[in-house]
Amino acid sequence: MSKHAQKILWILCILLIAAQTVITAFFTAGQTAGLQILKNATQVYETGRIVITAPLMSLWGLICRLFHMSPVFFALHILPFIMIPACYGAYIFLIRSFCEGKTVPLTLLIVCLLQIFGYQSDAFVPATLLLGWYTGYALVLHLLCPLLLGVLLTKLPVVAAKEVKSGEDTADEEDEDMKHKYLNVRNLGIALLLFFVIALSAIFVLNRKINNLHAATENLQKSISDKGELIEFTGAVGDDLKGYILKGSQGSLTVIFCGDKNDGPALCELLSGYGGAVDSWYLREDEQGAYEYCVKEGITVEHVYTVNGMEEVL
Amino acid sequence: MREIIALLFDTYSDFSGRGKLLPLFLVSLIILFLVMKKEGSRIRPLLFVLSVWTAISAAFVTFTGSIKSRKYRLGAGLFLAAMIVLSGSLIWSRGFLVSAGEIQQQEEDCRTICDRILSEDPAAGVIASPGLMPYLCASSASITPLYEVPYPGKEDELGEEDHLLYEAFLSQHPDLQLVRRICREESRIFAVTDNEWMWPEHVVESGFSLLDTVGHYDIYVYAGGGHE
Repeated sequence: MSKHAQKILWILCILLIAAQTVITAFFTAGQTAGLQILKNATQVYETGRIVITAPLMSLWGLICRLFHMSPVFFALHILPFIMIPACYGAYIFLIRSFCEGKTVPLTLLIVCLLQIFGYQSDAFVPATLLLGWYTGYALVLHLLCPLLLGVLLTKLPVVAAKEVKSGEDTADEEDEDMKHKYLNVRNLGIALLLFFVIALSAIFVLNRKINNLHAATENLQKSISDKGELIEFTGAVGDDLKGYILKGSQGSLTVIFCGDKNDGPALCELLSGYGGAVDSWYLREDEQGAYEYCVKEGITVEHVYTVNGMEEVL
Repeated sequence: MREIIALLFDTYSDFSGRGKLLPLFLVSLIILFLVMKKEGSRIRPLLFVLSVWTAISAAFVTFTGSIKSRKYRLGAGLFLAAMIVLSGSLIWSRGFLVSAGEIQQQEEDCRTICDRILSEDPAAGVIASPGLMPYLCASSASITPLYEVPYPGKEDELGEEDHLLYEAFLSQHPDLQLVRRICREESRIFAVTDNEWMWPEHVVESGFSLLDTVGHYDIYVYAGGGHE
């Protein structure tokens, strides 16, 4: 990669990090579940007593108390400027420890993009940096772990190099052997094992999604039936729309029109299935046959309205 | 023991990634493992503690570095870009981002709501929508929430009653009678609703009455005497 390309990638990374910091400080995602963690910080801010089980929140609370600032304001608008650049600093340190110098900006750019898409998917709040930069999770995952790994990775190659130097005579032979043993039973076994892990994870995820979908459908059906029902009445022959029956969430029945006396038996049977008690029946003046048949057959109707003027006739 | 294993698994999942990122993360580990093995490096065990972000990035850079053909490099780049894009939900709804002004107003409203509730009864339980409840909890440590808001994807971990309360307040018509039935041991309950999009049901029947309005939030209090 040319120096010019590296420079462009560095600029791009810096712009992305700055944009993430500013957007996080001045906007907040709709996902607010992580804010519950701040309860401990608020407790420290209000009482001045440290919560031993939440050391990071205690620290935020004490800082807020020192500067007379609300923990919510501090976490949402001040901390992004400290935590997000610090976390990316830790990532740069880690990347430098195991990548060649010229590939560092490209690696960092991919980390930036992954963070943005992690933000969008909110898959694991509060571990996602851009959704929970104020949480202990973020501190451990995005700051302490990269730093610790970076230190380990910079120290360990030194040991490895020393060992390699002491056994310089046999190193070439070992390298040759490694090349020849690249495709051996052990490696294939590991690959197979990983394949099974991936396949099992995929099946597990798929199964969970199907279960969730099933639960959602069940709830939807229950919710629809709880909220009420609209039934289209297509008459005795069943080929023409004669009227509507509305079933309310509390079990009330409202009939709108529903045909002449030929449609009476079919309608009467249908209404009997819903309890046979109608709260309101809207009628046309010239089409009352079905209504008269139902009343004769024992269907009770509390209120009857006609369409011209909607006045009660019974 | 099972709980400890589940906790360890959960923590590792948070660390290594979940959902669509997990297969990408595992493939990245295989790539890194094979490349480092080829180079004869002795730091392989550390691979398994790399976070999802660094593992994927390092694997991509290492992998493309070992490819000489530009065509294949471009292919690998496009594949990774597609995977990154697929790792998100690709949904940027209108209300996804809330501006600082709105947040500040909400913070102020929440503080006022908390003060109002605490002045009435410091020990009473408070219930609100899952979007508002965390703000209320963060605004005052003395607030006692009636259910804990779950993190995305962890709704199943809620207890049965907590789940009912959570679902009730996800709706535009939270059922206050249900709240009373579930929280029958509470002597006083405060329900906070956003009057721009929430219209609680069975307010009077369940013994609730409107206490105050702060901004576009209504505070209902269970005054006792309602039939369940």
